[in-house]
Amino acid sequence: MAETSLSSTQPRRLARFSSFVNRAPEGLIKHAVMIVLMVLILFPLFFIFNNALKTRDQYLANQLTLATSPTWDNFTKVFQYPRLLSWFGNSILLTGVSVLLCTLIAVLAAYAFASMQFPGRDTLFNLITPLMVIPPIVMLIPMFVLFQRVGLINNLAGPIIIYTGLMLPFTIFLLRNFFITIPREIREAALLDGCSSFQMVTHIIMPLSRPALVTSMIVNAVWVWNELLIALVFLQTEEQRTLIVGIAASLQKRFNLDVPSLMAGLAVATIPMIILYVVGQNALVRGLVAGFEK
Amino acid sequence: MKSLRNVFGVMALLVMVLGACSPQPSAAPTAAPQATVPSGGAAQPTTPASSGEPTKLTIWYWGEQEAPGMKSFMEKAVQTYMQENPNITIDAVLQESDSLYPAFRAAAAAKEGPDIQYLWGGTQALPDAWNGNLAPISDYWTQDELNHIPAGQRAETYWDGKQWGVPFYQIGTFWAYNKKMFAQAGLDPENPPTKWDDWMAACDKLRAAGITPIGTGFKDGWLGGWMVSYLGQQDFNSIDDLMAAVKGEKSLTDPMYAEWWSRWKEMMDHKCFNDDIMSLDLYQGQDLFEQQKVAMTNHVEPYIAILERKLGADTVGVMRTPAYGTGKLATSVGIPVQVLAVTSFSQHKKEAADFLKFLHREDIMKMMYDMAGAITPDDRFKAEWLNVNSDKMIMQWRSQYPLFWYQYYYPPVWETEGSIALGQLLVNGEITPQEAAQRWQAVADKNRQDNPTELEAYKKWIFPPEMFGQ
Amino acid sequence: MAQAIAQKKPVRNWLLAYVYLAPALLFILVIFVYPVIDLLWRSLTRTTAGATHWSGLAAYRDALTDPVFWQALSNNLRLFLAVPILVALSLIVAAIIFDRVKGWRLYRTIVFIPYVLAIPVVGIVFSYVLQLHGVFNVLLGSAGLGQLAADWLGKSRTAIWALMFVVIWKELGFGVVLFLARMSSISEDLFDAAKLDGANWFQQLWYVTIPQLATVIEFYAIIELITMLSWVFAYVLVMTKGGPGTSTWVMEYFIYQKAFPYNQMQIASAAAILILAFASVLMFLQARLRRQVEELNG
Repeated sequence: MAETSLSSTQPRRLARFSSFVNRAPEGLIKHAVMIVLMVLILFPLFFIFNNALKTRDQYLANQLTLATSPTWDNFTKVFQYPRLLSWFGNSILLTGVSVLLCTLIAVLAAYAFASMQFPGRDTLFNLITPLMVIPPIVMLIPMFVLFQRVGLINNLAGPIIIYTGLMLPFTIFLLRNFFITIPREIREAALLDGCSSFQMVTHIIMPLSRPALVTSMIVNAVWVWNELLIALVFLQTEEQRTLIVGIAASLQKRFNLDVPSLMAGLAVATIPMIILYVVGQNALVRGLVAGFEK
Repeated sequence: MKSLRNVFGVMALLVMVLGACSPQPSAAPTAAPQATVPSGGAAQPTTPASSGEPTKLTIWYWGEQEAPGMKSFMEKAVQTYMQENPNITIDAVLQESDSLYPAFRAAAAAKEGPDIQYLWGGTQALPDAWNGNLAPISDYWTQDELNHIPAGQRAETYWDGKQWGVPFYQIGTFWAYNKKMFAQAGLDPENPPTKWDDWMAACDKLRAAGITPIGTGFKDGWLGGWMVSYLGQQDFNSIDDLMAAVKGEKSLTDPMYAEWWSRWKEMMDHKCFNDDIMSLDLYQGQDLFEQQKVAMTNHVEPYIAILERKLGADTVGVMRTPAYGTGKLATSVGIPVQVLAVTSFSQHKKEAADFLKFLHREDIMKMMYDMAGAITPDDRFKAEWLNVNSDKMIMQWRSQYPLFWYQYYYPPVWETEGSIALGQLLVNGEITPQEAAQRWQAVADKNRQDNPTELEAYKKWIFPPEMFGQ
Repeated sequence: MAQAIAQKKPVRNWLLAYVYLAPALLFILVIFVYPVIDLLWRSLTRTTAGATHWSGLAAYRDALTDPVFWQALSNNLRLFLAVPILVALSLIVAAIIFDRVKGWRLYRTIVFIPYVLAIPVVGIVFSYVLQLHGVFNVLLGSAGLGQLAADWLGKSRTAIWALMFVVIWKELGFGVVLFLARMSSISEDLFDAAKLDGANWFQQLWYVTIPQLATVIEFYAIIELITMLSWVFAYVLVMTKGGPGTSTWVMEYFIYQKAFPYNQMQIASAAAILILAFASVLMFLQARLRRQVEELNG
């Protein structure tokens, strides 16, 4: 009724808009946002799994229809591709070892940067952190020449060393910045209790830093798992390939024209990661939550 | 005391972790002359036969993508060779397209790697000769042995008076066409167009009949090198015309060098290509032909043979690129060769060159054709081995028309930033043929400025008439 | 005696610190310092037929006068636009999930999945989905938006943005989960106080959540900046190979092309050194910005 005069209703309209956003329809908007997002996220996965179950003709006829009469032939074909499992093993090994190695080395270094006094500390730290921005491709030629000389080509230890080194600046940066938030009193109390500084790291700092450790390990593991270029150039024989190189270089070309089989290959590569994540997600979230508490 | 314990603690941990990080504890020797035997299972000969020192050769090769069966052939050839020469062990490693060059260039920088390297021919191979990564094959093959290779194909890796690569197999690069679709559109299925205007008219007729004329893919770029080699040379009289432009004596905006851009545009105007050419990779576009959704596609010889076997000789025919040009090379055919080269850092150059001779032995050449459909460029290769029409046609054309493959005589930058990058923009209608020619010239100028030494080397690419005729 | 110990101790700590640092320094020496020196040397020399000549700054001039170099760099800068988008989207999604909307656990699980997928897997799928006759355009058509359909990866105008979309698709979940983790440790009192003041949802997000998340946001933004500058090679290689034209070349691809297909190591090395310098400047600016913000906050 009072809505005839614009000027007088202005504040009320605002309040109304505000309550519109705030109350009942707010839930609707939120759900709409989430549903759109979920569709966007899940659609490519649907594309992979649905088309992996079709024949080539069915795929060519329509990429969208549901695979109502699923065929497993594509998976059989992919598993006949002999190296898939060993690629998988290589990827696990590379990722696991280099992430653990990197974390360990970075913990020690970050502790030194965070809690010890020594000449050149800040300079050194400031020199190390920008290194994390260097694209790995930059190092490719010099590293290859060096590793060729010492016989580390076609040897899993080669990429492990490179990955560990490449991840170090970021990991040290992250961990050191976390360590300095641990109150000095805790550290000193522990030393008074007769902890050696090494025990200090393993018994006090590391448990307290679980979130930072979890975060860095996740970021690093995802990066190593997905790395293409170094793995491609440093591991050349087919049995030493990583899963990603196998997919990008071999499988994609082999099944370029047989999209359903290619999708089956992608599915095989994807399922373990998804399972691993779904199983481990609670630990992940707990670790992160604990980590970013103040 | 305490800090000493700390030191030990750290070290113990490190040792532990480091121990875990090398899965093959003793797999990092500084040099590995006696490395693993390939999976064939042939045991390392414990007592070498009288024929000399035990020698290990490493080959990095490629080819499975364009000649399916190449890998099985190579494995069998290696096995045969090792049986005949018990003192030789060969490790043949099939490379991926994306790692073939990176791996070799890096190995060459380290002066350690394969004894025999596979290279795409011409300017994709010679820079490695210029940079000292290759050993001249003519030091190990006699002139008589080299003369078995057709001159036009040998020229691609003949430089500074020496032969640098041995042709491994040829990849005649032509057009496959669908005879039934041609007939359907009212075209003569047995006589595909050989003149440009007829070809454009054919596109129109096919479109009118509701058929997509050419199916191909340009997203991954490879098509650029093919198009320039189909069209770019048609106003040339000899290879010297192209070389003059590479050396900077002629401009790429001259009509002789620029006309092909307009011709390519003409193909776009006549809607010769599939509309999703920019969405598809080359192989995906070519696959439309196999699905019988398009009437023509550009393809390599071994694959055209496969298509002919699959779809039948009454469906699949092979045609040359129709001519628009006025030069002597207007009707030239592209039968480039991929080469194998001995590396300059190989410890066993002679043995490596011997293995290359073995690949040119009659029974082995026949085996490669039977297993991979790939033809060795060598006059000892018998025409009667050929078992499909397309191969026979191509063999006939090889002796009938001049051989020329543009892509192998220009610097790689002309391709990546020229026939590929500018070609894609042209196909998209984002630039005109004139702009393409101008920008190509700019790329060429920049490249000469960036690579003065390479330019000097290129100038030594001369073919003595007594060896190459004409 | 006591004095002697007191004097000795700093030295021993000093040594101990370097013992702790030793493994890291060793790796950094091998993986970073040696290659950078090697690259510097290569960028200043030219190798022909096995002989190496001093060539001064020629390689730097060649790189800097190359239009493709600038195109590649500008594409990296375009990709930087993804960073604010990622931060904003992650914040909104995290806040919605944090509100415990129905099904939030499922949402939280799903939203992180793209982050664990391999780039080539993602790249391959999207290059099919985004084809001219791909399902994305088919869906647009059936939604009556047919005129919006385009050759997303095939046209210069759209390709880099399509690539950016895929990168965002993959990286979003990481931000959401990071932010969620930090949100759950914000004291409820802050939100209650804001609600009492009549703050709406966006106001709460802006005035309460974001300030509390500052460090995590900074961390995520840095990671994503690094990603856009140094870790997009695999997307380009799998999805566009730099095309159409040179419209999706990025610095990594430029270096790769110069080093391998072109065989111009000196220019590749010079470009690598230049990008390192660029990155260092970015890091320096970030550190200064941070210090200024800290000073502002007292």
